[in-house]
Amino acid sequence: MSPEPEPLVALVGNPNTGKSTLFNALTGLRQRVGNYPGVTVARKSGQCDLGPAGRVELVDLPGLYSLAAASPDEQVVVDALTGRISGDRRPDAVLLVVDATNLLRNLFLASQVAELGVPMAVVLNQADVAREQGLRIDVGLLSRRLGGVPVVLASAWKAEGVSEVRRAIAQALADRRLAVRVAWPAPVAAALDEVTAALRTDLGVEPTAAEAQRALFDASGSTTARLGWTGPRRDLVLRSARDKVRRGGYNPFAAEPLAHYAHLRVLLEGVVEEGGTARSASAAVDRLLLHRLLGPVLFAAIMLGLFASVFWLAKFPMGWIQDGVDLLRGFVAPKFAATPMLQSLVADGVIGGVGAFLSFLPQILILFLFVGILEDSGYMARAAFIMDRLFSWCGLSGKSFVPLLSGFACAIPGLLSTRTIEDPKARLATAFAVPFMSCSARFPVYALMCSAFIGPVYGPGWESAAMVGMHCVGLLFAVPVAFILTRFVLRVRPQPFVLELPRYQLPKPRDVLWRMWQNAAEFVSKAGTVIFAITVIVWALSYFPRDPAVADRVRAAEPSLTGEALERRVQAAYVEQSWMGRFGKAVQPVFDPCGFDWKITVGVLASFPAREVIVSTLGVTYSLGEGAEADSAQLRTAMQSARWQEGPRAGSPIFSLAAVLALMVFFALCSQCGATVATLAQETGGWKWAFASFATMTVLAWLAATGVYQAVIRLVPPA
Amino acid sequence: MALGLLPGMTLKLVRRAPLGDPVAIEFGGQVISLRKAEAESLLVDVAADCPVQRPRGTP
Repeated sequence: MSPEPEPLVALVGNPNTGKSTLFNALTGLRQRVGNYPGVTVARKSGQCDLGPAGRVELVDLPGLYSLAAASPDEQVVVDALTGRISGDRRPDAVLLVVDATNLLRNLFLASQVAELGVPMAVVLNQADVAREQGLRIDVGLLSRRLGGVPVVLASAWKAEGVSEVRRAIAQALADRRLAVRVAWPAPVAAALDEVTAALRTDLGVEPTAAEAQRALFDASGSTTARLGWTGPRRDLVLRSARDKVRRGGYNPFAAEPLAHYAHLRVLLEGVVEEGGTARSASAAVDRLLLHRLLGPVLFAAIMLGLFASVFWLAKFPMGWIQDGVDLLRGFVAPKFAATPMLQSLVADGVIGGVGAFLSFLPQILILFLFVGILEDSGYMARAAFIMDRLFSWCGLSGKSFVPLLSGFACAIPGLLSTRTIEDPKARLATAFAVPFMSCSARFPVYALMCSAFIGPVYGPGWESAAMVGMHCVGLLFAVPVAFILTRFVLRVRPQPFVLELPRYQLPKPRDVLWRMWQNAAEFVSKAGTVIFAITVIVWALSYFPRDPAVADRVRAAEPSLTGEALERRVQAAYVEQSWMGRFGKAVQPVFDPCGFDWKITVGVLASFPAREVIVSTLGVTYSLGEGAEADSAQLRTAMQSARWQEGPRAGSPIFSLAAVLALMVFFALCSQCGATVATLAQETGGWKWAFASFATMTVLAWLAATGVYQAVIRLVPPA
Repeated sequence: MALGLLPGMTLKLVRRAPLGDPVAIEFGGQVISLRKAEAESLLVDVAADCPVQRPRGTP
């Protein structure tokens, strides 16, 4: 680091202006992604080379329409621009990214930013589209009207005008010119003075013009709260100031946009010359994709296609990763043959656990890829538009749809994609519902149970029916849970759902792939460490204590056994007397109403890091060794022949239809996924909600499993 | 308001979602989706050249 830090330039703009594409073009992907402290808003920054003018640090702030801070994203922008974020500098200049086809609306934000008193440069992006629409923009005139701040035309998508943007940044930093500010109507100006004076005396520091405006104009009071201006005096001052505005003939909550837009109307006069036919292609596509009958059909087709391709495309790389992990295990394990404990830790604990986690990475990557394509093309907003009605009744919005759909592949990307939901409560409720979706880690459990017990007895028809049914169980529970949560716990007020349906455009492969990579890297680094820790803990619990007497006892009890069969029996005995085994036996009475024996209970407990672990745990407890898989015929036979050893059910099969269904329902609803719990904690900003989710899901899983078991043993005669 | 929906502007109801809500309105060269509950708080006059003469609830 040089002693003199590089100038900091903030990228600000409306959503759908191609801001991130421009950011990628300017930084050339030399980027760092972090988090703003306390909130789950990503801070993307990168280095931008301005040529002779040196280098600057560019930070890409979340897209927003107005500085009236409502969502966490918007608050971050306001805080970042006012230098109120701890550990972050106040930007030396703002690069305002504007959609050239809709100057009036986009410049509203510019006009608000001008109030902050930061040097500014304006990029009229998507200039190519404006040209196609026959718009001619007088850039020089606009620059003069804005008070001489640099204004340039660019098309980041086509990489046009990027060097002009660099020059504009350099010029803004050199001239430090401020954009012209809005002239407030007299009553508004008087009210602002009143608020400024009160802020000055109450806080002891000179407030900025923007701070006074936010205090006066925002009903939410989030700015005054952050300034530390609270109490009855604040309310008194604000009420009197707003009354003053009202007496002047303005609505205090509408005066700001009215003044800005009036100012912009004058400013833009003669700047844009329209010619030819405006908007066309997008409206035509919408006629098809948002058709009242065809729209939902196409929507369902797109979503099913997405879901199916996530599943099928990921199958191959998942297989490779699994093979690779097995190969690595086979290669590494002999190296530790001298110390069996280390061997087990490395081979079973670390390689096995991390391998199981990594094998879901392809699904996550593909899902992020498709979600990125849908977002960048503009269809995601349409999907929310189509689905909104279905979600609005339980307090959610159309924006909850994608997270929930993603949850069917894996809860983690689902949770990460809740970041697009502005309202923190709606976001939390969605995050709570996501883990209920039947993710692909449940699949091996269903596959094992259905192929071992449902298929052979009731035929393949019932087998697939059970598979499909299990995928719906979570959905059945998620809807009422979300409803109760939004209505009675969080008391989500109906949120205004205002959403721009942007112009359709072709996604830029580099942007989509880059975002996919960033999301996946974040997921692996954050969730991966927690999973690793949990995996090692669970391994230790099922390994220790390792009393050699146990092995001797097995050998003495069954002298006929030799070689591998003996080894497996010894392993099973070790697991039985491990902490996990003892705990499982102790806890088994809790799961008795669900029809689980102690071996299943151990499987349930040991599969806390990841659901699919139960398959290999059952493999160990049924003395088949570690390598058991869902399609293992041996495991199936061993489980089919398992009988209750004692108690009232002695002699009857453990895996009866009732117990099998109960086990599947349990796994459909339980929260046996360390990664999900960790991600939930990260995304909701604390362990409180992660724990609440875990507890709710476990209790629901137990209740539902008990209900199913008790109902089936009473209603269905044994086959 | 921040999106530029201002008094005196001409709005066009472009389409409804398949389930009737929300609705998409066009103004100032952009298409915005609003729920009916929010759209009802807009005070609208039906334009003289509007093909469908159906005044909406105006609280």
